[in-house]
Amino acid sequence: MGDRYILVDGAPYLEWWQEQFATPPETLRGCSFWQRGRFSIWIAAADVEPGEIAPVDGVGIPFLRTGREVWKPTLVAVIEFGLDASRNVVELDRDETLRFLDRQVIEFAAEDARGALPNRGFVIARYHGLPVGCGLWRRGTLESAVPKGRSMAGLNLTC
Amino acid sequence: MEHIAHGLERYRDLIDDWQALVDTSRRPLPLVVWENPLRRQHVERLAVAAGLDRRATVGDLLATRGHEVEPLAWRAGAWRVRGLDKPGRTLEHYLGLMHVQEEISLAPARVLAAEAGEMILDFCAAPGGKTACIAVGMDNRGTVVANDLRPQRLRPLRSNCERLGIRNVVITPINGIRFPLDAGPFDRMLLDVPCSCEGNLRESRPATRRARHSQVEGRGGLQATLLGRAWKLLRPGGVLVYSTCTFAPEENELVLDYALGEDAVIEPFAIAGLRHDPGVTHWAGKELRSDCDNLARYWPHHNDTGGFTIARLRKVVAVG
Repeated sequence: MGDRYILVDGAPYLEWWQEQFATPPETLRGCSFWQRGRFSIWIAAADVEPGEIAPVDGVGIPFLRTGREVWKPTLVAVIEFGLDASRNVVELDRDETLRFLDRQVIEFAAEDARGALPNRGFVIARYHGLPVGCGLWRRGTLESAVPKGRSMAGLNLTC
Repeated sequence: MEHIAHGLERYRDLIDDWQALVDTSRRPLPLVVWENPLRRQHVERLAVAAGLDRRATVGDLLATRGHEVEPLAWRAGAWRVRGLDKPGRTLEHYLGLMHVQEEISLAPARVLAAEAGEMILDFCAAPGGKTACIAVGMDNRGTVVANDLRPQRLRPLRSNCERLGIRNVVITPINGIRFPLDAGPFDRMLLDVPCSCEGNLRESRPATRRARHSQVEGRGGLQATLLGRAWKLLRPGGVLVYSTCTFAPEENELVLDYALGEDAVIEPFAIAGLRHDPGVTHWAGKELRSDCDNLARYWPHHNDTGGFTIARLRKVVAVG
């Protein structure tokens, strides 16, 4: 509590997202960007107005963590904006999705075409085209980055 | 052990069918879910994956899995669902396509009728179900300031807003009694005050115990103080919805009678498909404002819900 949220120029974060995930420009249109602390970027409605109220303990939803060498999109950002991503996306089958949501590491066989993602970095995991979270991609393995508090063992997945 | 509904005997004159209330209060609340309109594209994609038409709803998705699904009579995009033991363990919930909420708790947002682009203040917002209901109706435009005194109760509010992808909520952890007056004015406000929770009598751990009835009178002071502060933050012409999950006139009509002045009107309203009883203008030997009869009291046996009381107040625009 108590960290300030500062309205920032969203251009570098928009550019990073579009470069990383190749989403259409309209996906993130009409948003404002807010910085909390040194390394946390939040995304909110374009006309959101915290006014002169203090303290503020949240503006919109968390979008990006910029503290490490590789920037990390948040789970909520991936679910919100990952539907139309066309780069750095890995489609999972039912069994892989269940393990991903349980925060496990998924290994891809050498002959699996999905294992041909070029970069080490964060990718969007999708199931039936629905973004279910982001994971760290490293030499043919996908390390689930679903936060502990949101992970689920034995989700009821019926389709 | 005496049944919990007997704590409500002091309202017997207000209740049309006492036995129906007792019987209803013995039954657990139906499970109600609503579809998140901000996630329509996600629902479409899941519907197609499940072999349904792209226009299929979350209700349709649940029905295909054998759950008995009944649309609410008074609100589109919400259903009573039977046979879904752990709604939090579904993909629909994980992805924020739906939210679980007690049916009658959806009513304040309906009465508030917030519009996209407006400035809204939800004064006692935690745990945030009503905030979410208001915010998703605004199409991620404008601002909903969600305030609550207790930071630990703001946690579920925050996680629900994040899961549902709500981008127009600003969270503030401020004691409402000291909420800064220069933060306003707001177009609309929800004041869902802390109360004695008599209406929760159907929940697994109901608040209605005789031991808690001392709270009925004890809460009125705080409720009136919060209403007084909130009123100063409302713009002239603006709407304030005052609600409690309790029946006591001491926490509803008497608070409004005490706190409101001539610049306030308690407006009549009705939700088609959701029955309510009118407010009282006399209670415990006291005569109250005549517009107190415009309050709506929702008894559990009328709609098979929890209990609730709602007043819709408008701030009069000064002439001249």
